[in-house]
Amino acid sequence: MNRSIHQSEVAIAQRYNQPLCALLAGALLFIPVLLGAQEPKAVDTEPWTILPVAQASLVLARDGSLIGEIGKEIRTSVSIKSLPRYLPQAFVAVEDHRFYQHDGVDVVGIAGALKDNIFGERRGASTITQQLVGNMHPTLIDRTDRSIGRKLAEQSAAREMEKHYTKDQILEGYLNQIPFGHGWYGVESAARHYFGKSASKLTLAEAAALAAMPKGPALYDPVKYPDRVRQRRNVVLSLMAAQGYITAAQAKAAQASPIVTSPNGGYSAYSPWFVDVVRVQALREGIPVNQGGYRIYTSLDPVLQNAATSALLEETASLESQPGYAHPKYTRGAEAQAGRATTDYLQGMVVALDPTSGDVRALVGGRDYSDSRFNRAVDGSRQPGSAFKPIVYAAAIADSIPPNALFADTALAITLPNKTIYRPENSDNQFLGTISLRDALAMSRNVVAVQLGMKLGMDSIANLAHRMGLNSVIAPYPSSAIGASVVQPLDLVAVYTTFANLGTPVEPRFIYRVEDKNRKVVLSREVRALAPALDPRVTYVVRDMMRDVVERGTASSIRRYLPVSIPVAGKTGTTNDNSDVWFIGLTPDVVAGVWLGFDKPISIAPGAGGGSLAAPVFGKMLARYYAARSLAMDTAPRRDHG
Amino acid sequence: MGEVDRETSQLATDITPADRRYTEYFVEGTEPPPLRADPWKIFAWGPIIF
Repeated sequence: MNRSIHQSEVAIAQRYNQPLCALLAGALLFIPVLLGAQEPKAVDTEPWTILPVAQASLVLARDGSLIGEIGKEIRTSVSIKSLPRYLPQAFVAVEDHRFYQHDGVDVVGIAGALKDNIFGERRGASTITQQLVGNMHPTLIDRTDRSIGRKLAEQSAAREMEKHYTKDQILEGYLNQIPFGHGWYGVESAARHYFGKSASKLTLAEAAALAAMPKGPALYDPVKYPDRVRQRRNVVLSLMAAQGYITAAQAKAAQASPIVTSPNGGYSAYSPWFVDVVRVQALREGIPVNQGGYRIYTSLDPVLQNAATSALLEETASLESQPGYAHPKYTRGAEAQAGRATTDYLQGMVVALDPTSGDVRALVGGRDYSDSRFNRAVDGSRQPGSAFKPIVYAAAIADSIPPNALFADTALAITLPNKTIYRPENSDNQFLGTISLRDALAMSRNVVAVQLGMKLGMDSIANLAHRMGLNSVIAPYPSSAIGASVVQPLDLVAVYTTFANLGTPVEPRFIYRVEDKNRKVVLSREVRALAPALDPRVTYVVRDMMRDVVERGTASSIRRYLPVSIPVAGKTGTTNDNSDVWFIGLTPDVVAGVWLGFDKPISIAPGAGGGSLAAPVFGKMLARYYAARSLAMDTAPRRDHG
Repeated sequence: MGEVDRETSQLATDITPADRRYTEYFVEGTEPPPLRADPWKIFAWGPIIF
């Protein structure tokens, strides 16, 4: 191998016919001898090959837009022919301007780097080919290793690569290989995440901004440091002009443009918790989506997801900004500890389903995924409070109790099997006396629900809850009638599809289908309806009673956001000490649930309730959803009858 | 279904104010007696002539 190095170095020196190069080549030749002849590592395992690189599995929303990627390296390789010419040129200009002249090792560049290093300016002289060799074979060529041995091995492999591949193949491999931070690799992935478009659509200024990044992807992150990136981008543009790739006028025009990055990392909606669920479901089906190359078509609606995210973030921030708020507050970017399960500030979750298919249209598992990845919608386990009551009332209506039947909202003392006395109270600490079943639900009177539970039997109510799709254990105690038994939030929201579908619950569906890299469908999920749980007439009556919760009951705050033209039925929930607040509701198009609370249950605030905190999130989310839908209908393409 | 007086939870009458009336829905068999289908009422229409 030393022999081939010698020949190549001499050849390069001859090519450039520069004494300095010859001197340097000679020095490189003898350095290994002086250092004890360190052998270049792993030359027998062909570190010069351009290997197929790992691709990401793409997660697509129901409209086909990208909402997430799964894989160790988030990458979508593209052909260099599909890229605008100035994109590879920008990289060549700044990373290796003699790329088309050298044979893998830029001896002139090395000499310049040596001289600069002597005069105190540290810089490298790795060519694009060398960088590709190192990035593509990190186990063979460890680029963190600064030894001469590693450099020689890299140079040798780079020269070998140049013998086997064309310059375009090497440049394409490089552009698809390089890291751009955040686990994003290659120009296509970087273009999508930083600028929200395919690399083929990048402008000259955006292409130059990407070319500014390989020097330090973290240091030159366009989202975090736009000014720093703009400065280096302008250097790239000047170099491109100086090297004749673009005119001075083009460079000047591009230098004047601001750095404009895409929100949500280029995804159509911020939905990391949803993508987590999709990944886990696919893996459970035995599909190795982590290995990349799959396309996962999902049910998520980006419009509703964005509406859910913004409504949750705004309402929780608004609560924290109120005078007298006594808990730690969420600060964006502060103490972010991705992976920690719980936080000490107010959290929340939102889930929205299509009522007829169970398709999960939106899922927000918390306030900040980068701080806490815990999915409170799927992995949470919370008391539902009064949000459980529609199940109790459905059992009552099914048991031939009419909605205008009168009950006593009064003090109760129930002796439990362990001889303790249970005294249910209402959240306002008042008793309203005789009240109809309809009004008791609208006003969320606990005492009436407990009486119904005792009259009907908690076992039969638990049985009904399970038929409606609830998987949690409902303890056979009177307090379970007012939601004392913990549930999984997604489960409880799915239970409400029973009311939307006149008795037939549907299971939540995240994935439509998964295609492998050959576009062959490897997984397909159909709508899964459970057996009818209730008589359609019963669900119709209960749904009508739940409309009163919104029109004149505990969730009337929703009408501040949604016009009366949109029918809404639902139920609030508030647990002891106001530590969990809920609203779960349905419109003709959506069944959705909102929960707010702390990961470690403590009182949110005095007087906090599902109607005052959770219902506004629901109302705001759906107001934005319907506004966007209406706008989309208004702006639908029309035939021009000119 | 029937018109119900929100205050008394009984069927609304001619003198029930409009703002207290609402439409209540009942599962068949649970409605107030005046709303139930009564086959004997057929005879109130007069003799059945074959």
